[in-house]
Amino acid sequence: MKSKAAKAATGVLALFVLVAVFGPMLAPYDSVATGVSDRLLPPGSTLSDGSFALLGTDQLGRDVFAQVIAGSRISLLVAVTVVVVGGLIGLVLGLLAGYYGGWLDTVISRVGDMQLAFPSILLAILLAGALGPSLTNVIIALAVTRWVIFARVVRGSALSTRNREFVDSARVMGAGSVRIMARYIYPSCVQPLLVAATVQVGLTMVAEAALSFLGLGVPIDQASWGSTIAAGRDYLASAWWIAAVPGIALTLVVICVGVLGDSARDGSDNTKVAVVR
Amino acid sequence: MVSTYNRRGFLKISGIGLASAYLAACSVGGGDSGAAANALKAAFAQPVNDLDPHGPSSVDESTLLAGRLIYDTLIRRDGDKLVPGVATSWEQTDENTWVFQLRDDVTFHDGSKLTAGDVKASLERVKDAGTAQSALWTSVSAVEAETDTTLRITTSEPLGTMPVNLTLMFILPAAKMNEPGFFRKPIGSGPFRVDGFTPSDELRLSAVEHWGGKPKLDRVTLPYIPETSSQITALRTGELSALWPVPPDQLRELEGLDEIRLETIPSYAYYFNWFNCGREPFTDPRVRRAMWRAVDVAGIVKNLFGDGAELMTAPIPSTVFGHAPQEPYRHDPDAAKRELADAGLADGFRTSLMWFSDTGPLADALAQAMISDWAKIGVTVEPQNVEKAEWLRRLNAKEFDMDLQINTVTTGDADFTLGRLYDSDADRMGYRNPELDTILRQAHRDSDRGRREELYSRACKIVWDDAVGMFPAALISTYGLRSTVEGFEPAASNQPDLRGVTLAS
Repeated sequence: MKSKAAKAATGVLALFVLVAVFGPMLAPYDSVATGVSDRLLPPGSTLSDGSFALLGTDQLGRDVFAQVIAGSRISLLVAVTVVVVGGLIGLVLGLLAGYYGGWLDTVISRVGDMQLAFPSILLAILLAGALGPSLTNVIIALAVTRWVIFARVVRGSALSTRNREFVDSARVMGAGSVRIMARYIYPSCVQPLLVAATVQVGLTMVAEAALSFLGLGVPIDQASWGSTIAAGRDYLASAWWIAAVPGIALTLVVICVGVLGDSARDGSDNTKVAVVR
Repeated sequence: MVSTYNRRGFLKISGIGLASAYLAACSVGGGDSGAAANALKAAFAQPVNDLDPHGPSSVDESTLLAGRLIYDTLIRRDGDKLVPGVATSWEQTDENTWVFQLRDDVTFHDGSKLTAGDVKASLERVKDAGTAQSALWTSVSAVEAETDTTLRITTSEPLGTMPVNLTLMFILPAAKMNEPGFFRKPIGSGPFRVDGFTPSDELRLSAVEHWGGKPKLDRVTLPYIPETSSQITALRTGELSALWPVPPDQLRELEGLDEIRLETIPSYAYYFNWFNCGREPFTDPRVRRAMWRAVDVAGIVKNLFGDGAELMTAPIPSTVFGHAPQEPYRHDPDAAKRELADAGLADGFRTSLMWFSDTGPLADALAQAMISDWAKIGVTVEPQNVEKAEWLRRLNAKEFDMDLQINTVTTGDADFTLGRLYDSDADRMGYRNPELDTILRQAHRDSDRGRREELYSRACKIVWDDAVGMFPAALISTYGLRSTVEGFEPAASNQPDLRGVTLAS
């Protein structure tokens, strides 16, 4: 059932993952090694030390190509970690809320609603600003803003499953709550959770870039697409490649993730309720 | 009772409404265009946050810039010279007493007369405000308005910088200055009156009759445009008539354009990188000098700033009174390593550098380029690019290893920077040197320019040779002006006098 677009998107994403994993070995990036005599050179220039800058150099004479590759590592790392952490928290809380209902459900759902009342990027800015710039803090700040979405998806599935016959029969057989949740309810939550996760990977990458763009993301000595774009902002007219290259990379990845998420959703029927936010 | 309209009636009515709105818009636009031709729209790169010239922003360039247009001072600065402002003459009758004769034809924008009483009230207000400018006035013990046009200032110890300090002391109307809300639309006696002010957004001024002649412009608008690229675009499209300072990196976007003229002037602003001399290992001057030698300052300044800055030769910019050129530190990583080894740090060490991005043009790039050079001699420097408020708190609490920032010698006199910051009592970066204290205090008291110059040249040498900080670049202000702007004189202080500016149509 996979469409051509989905196949192409998978290909592009696989390429980016490969680049993120192996790229830094081929094109090492050292944020500390600056060369101010080679600054703002256009793509295809040769540097003073004889090396070749395929995509030009930035405002400090560092290779944009190596910087974008190093940035892809941070972007993918943050996106995947945030989705895994946020997804796990959301899964546990969503299962509890959906299975037990009652006051527990009320508390979890209302806390979630309250949090959703804030624009998520605003909450992330607040948290990242309070925690200070570091990779771990970016992941924490973004995971906090994402768990609600996963919790809602899981809670919805758990609610619709908990009164089905096979769950009742397990209960009659004397299975404990934990076993019922793990063996009978959890499987029905996996697919909507995965669909939500693919969508969130893309959104998280954008959020990370936004935080780094605002100077609240990764520290200045680590490359991130967002911070590279921010650095290139003042050179849009004279050295467009600094902002354009990571910008294009970010756009490509987010579109591909979106296409994949769409096709995954089309493939499953009970996930039309997935919250996209 | 609700009236009902059929469709045709509705269209007729709304058509009439639209047409009249359109005509009204035309007439307003037409009426404005004549005046608009003589209205200058000029942007300074930093926002005007406050119009209180004695308040917390009293030495902010943007507040001073607005203050020069709205208020008067007793003495004005014209290039290197001090010239009469509201004061027509002044003399030092003994070393602790200054007597000023004031003009009797100065009026505030509300029509009331400016008298010595207003000057007295203003000076006392700024002295007691507890702000950066108050520090200049601590030795003033009494201010007396002997007549409406005679003012006597008595100091507890000689204050040689009295005339130059007075170029910053803006005169407010004594009767009104403490009214709540006064600074939302303040009244001064300067060449321009405030029409409207939105902090950090826009200041609108219009010309008034002034004792020094009515400005040639009718109106001046000073908008604040946050993004550098938007500022440049606004100048290119003609939305702005003047923009300063243009960051060094943006110069090439404005070069070679027919309708834009660039004028440069060395400014009072410069970068320094202080070492916290009270913290290991910077207590050792050998380590500080080694750090300086490790950085290719000349190369970085040339490549990063180009024509936008000049290499510094003293701890103050060359435009400032008291500047004396020193022997430059040559870039020599091997010598730096040897010096570190002598100090017992052959394996290098870890430290940190604190700055905030908006401190000045290319601050991030400068910081990272220096960190890169330090890495080459084995010194690992953690970049701490912090937020401005946090930076200020840590600076005042001396919670830093190194601090990179722009500093401005606001008065154009070495006393403002050397005397204020490097005195042991000020204790800004943990450096203590009794010999330097003696020199600085002597220079602060003396009013003889020749002797002061000699004292400051000794002070420059001590600060430079002891490497209290590194002094990489003094900024050169570039003014971007559209070709229609005439008579605009760039100012080293970034506070141009707009009285003589005209606009060609």
